[in-house]
Amino acid sequence: MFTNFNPAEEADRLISWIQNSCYKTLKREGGVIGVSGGIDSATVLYLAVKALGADRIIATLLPDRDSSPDSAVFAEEMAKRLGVKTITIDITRALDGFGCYEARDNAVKQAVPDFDPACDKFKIVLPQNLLGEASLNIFSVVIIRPDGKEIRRRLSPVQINEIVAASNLKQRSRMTVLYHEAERRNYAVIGTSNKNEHDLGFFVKYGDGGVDMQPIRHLFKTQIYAIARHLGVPDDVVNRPPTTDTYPADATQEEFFYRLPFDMLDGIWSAWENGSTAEKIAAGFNLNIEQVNNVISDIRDKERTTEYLRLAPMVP
Amino acid sequence: MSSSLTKEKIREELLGYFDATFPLFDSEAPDETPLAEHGVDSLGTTNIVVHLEQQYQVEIEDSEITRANLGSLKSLVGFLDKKLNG
Repeated sequence: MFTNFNPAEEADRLISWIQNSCYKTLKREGGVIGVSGGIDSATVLYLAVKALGADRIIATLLPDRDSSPDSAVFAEEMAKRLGVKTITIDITRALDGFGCYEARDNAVKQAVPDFDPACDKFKIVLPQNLLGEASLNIFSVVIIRPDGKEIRRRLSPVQINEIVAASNLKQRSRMTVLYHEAERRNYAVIGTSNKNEHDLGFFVKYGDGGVDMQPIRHLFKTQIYAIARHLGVPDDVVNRPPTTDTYPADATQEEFFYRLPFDMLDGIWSAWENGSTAEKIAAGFNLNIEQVNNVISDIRDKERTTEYLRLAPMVP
Repeated sequence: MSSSLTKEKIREELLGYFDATFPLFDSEAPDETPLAEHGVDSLGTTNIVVHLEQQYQVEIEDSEITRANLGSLKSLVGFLDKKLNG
């Protein structure tokens, strides 16, 4: 798929880049990384340790009541293996104070009146048939009852806005804590967003997008997997399905946003960026041209409609 | 409520709705222009679906929320015409 991509060379380049960015450009003495136990933060953690040394890195775990306990286990194990200090701050009480859960659960109740946050779980999903039909992006809530029964309801614009705004408090609270931990040590906040998240708008402005440097922002998810394997990130982290870890029920990033497995999404996207025709891409992936065009349209729509997230503050 | 609407009338009403709802909507653009180019994102698509269901008393299944049905003003007019007039 990425014939000219050499994970070892790219890792070496990024290690030098992190060193230069931290010490020379930002003039900070180390780095703070929010680690989730996922592949992106793991890769950045491994790169940063090689760049700055384990004693100049703080791995910060910022769970809330909806976080999977597995995330903390994976993150702790990795930090221990690397000899990196960890700090865990549960942000649940802060979020409660902001009214995050109440606002979010009330919006879900508007869509499903008998939703009971005390025992039901929920997740937000997009249609999953991107290859089958040219379906448009429209969000639904899926309620999961204690007996496993699922109820799916389409969300109204008001409900979506409420849920997204409330959920974004999580990422913005994490950003605030990361900067607190960084500033008290004269460290930089090192971000973990990748190209898929950045270019398609799957990040929170001034939340996980609010950092001092983004070492893997130019890399497709599949390239990050290759670098992670090269760096020796543990298999159980590499093999975990990427999740949103934002809503009470587990939702994969494919369900919530991307609508395709990463190898196919990245392959089609990179071929399109490099000027391949839909015909050629279709032949390479054993798809028909319409399916390829659906994927490209989805990428273009997401890029176009999330442009404001990537803009710096407007000035006259 | 609106079962006697002609295709022309549907287009006129939808143009009015788009003009009033989406600040970036360009009413001079060809009807085939993808709605995403008018600034319609996933939230906008949801807004359109809610509007059609409430204004025209039609039921829209998730499986109908496709580019072919809702991807442009032209496709939307055809889709609603089919829903209302068969």
